[in-house]
Amino acid sequence: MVRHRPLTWVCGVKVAVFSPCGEPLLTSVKYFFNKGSKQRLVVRGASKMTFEVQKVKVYTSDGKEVVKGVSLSLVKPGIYTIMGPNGAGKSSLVNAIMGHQSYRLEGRVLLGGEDITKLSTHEKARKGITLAIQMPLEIEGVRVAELLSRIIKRFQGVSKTDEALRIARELLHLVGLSDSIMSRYFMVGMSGGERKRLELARVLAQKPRVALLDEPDSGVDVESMPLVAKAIEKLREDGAIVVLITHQPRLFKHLEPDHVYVMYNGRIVAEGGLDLVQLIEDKGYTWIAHHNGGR
Amino acid sequence: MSRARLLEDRPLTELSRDDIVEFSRRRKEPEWVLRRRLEAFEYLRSTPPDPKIDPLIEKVTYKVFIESLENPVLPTEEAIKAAERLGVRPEELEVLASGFSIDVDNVVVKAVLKYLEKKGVIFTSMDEAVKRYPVVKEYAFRGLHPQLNRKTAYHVMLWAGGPFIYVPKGVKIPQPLQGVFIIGREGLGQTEHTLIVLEEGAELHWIEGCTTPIALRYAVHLGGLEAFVKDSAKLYVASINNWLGEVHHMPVKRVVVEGDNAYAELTAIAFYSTTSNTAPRIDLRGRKSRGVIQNIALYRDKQRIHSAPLIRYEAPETSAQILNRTVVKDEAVEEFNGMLYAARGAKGATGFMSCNTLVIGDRAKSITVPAIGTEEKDAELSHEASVGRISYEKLYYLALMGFEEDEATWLIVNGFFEPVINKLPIDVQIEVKKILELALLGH
Ligand SMILES: Nc1ncnc2c1ncn2[C@@H]1O[C@H](COP(=O)(O)OP(=O)(O)O)[C@@H](O)[C@H]1O
Ligand SMILES: [Mg+2]
Repeated sequence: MVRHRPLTWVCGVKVAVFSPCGEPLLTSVKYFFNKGSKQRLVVRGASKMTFEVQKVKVYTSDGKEVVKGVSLSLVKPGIYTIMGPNGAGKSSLVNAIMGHQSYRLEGRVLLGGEDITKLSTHEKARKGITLAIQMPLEIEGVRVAELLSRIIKRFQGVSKTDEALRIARELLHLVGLSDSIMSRYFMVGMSGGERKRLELARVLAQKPRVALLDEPDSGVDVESMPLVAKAIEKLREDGAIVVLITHQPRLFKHLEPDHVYVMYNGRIVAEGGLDLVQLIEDKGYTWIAHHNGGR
Repeated sequence: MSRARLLEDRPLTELSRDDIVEFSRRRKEPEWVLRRRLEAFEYLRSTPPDPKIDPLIEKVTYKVFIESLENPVLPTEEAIKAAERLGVRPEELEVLASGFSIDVDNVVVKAVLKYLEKKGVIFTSMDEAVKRYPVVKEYAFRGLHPQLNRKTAYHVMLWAGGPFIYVPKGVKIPQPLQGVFIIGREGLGQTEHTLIVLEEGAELHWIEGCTTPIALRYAVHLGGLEAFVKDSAKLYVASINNWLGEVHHMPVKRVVVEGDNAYAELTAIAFYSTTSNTAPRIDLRGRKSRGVIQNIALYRDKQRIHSAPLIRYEAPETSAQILNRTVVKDEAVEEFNGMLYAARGAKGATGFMSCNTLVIGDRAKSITVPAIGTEEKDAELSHEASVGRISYEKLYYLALMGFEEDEATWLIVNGFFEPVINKLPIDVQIEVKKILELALLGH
């Protein structure tokens, strides 16, 4: 394939290259293309970040109540873990918070004191809250480099593509992915573990103030676990409030959460420190739920 | 024949034999060209009107047609300066400004032209070529012959301008050559004729861009392209169409792959036109020759599209592909009737047709009816088709990344085209991305 710049040539019907009023036609086409600069939104606030979930109930589209009143008040950066068995309502909670159309949310969600409950998903993202989804989707035909550089340009106020790509590569290295992944289509044909790590790099690219992470450790092999932990640690270092959903304590070999919540059957039934993780390992969720009376 | 009568305001569908003779005389064409025009005229007279073609051509008057041919608007110095300020490279501008004259004072262009000339390449306008080069007579209107169908007949009867490219034996042109066809006038029927001849082992990338700078109230594009590809030669043609306003796009295209082991690829990238009626065709006549027709398009608003690419196998061990990758949105309706046809003699022909459509919204429609025909038992032809929609989950996922719906859709559409687009010359890729951005994001 020849990839030089072609010779531009005008041929044809003694082509009227210029409009009747003498304007250069081809040029006006080009001008048209270039018109309108891309808007760029820089989201970074140094102000004290808080994230509050107030009496949130979540209903599925068939009316089932899957989150039955959850309140969280997170007022400083840190890693806040929500642990709970399958079906406890963890994913429903975070997706409803982000405005997924399958859920109806009652209650309020505040970001830095601002009520963001009713905002659309992309508006929330632009305010600085995002979610690493449990099962990242393939975006066919869109390269990792392209997607990450677009995100970095928007969220980090970078205007040069080179610079955005450099940042993207750094983030990928952080989660243990090599440069070669830059030219692959986003998530397409990647292993479960690669997907999870790429998803974390994507979240990091947004420099979120609040990062909701839905089981970033599931499907990740033992060797890669420290990389996942490192990425989450980086979010905390950058001053983010991290809500880390997991149902396996193995991640805590590499990472110390600031606080632990236990979610069971749509409710937060216990909270505490690392000792609570030990208790989960020893007794299981059901035991904890019953001994706390399902608060 | 008086000039007054000639310039009478009559539709192109109602021209007389005398009009055609006069038209040809004014253009100082050799006799054989006139004969082709008259054959086309006779064919049109003896066949019934085609409801898909004639009513559209009828709206263009002879007067407007002639005027736009004979009085191109010339650039003013101011306009050239303005163009420069807007970032057109000076060498581009000079070529543009000089229409088709070759004595351009620019070093770069001169060097390229010199290089081509030294290699024996002919790159000139068809108007010139029919007078100067005997080789033209051998090929012109043999692929697009006047009795092929009504659309082709109109084209042959009314063609004017367009490039002639002749690449001699063994010459591989390293840079894509590019032509820009512009409809810059209301009511114009554009009828450029592109003729390409590749001798043994020659190689050419031809990129043609068709556009209008302003939204037109009415125009018809009835351009034609025919090409002949000899042994082991390779031809790549990419046509980018982006018409604004009410433009009816009905070009005629035919490539005859005459040589053994030869290759032809016709790529159409269509972004806008009110209606589009295309039936590009490749005939594979050389043993082991190969052909590809690919169509990449975004249809929107109330566009009505009919596309019927055809690859006809006539020699043994030939192979071909038809790829149709389209996005339909708003109230656009696409009808696709691609066909792979293995005629007698095409022993061991192989090929497949793949149609993928992405539908956006509830009112857009795509009717895909791929067809396969064969007269040879051992021909292996197949097709697959898929129609997809953009899922909410994907829009939601991209929204989590900060993309609003329009942007997300644009990204997904880009990605949908990407596997086809990334094989095209880099300039075509850039152009396509710009047009997509304009079409889906409005900037
Ligand atoms: N879109 C939905 N429609 C119907 N039921 C749902 C939907 N999403 C989740 N659920 C149900 O809600 C409950 C909680 O699921 P989920 O939030 O995925 O739990 P977890 O993430 O804690 O495993 C489950 O019973 C699940 O079947
Ligand atoms: Mg879950």
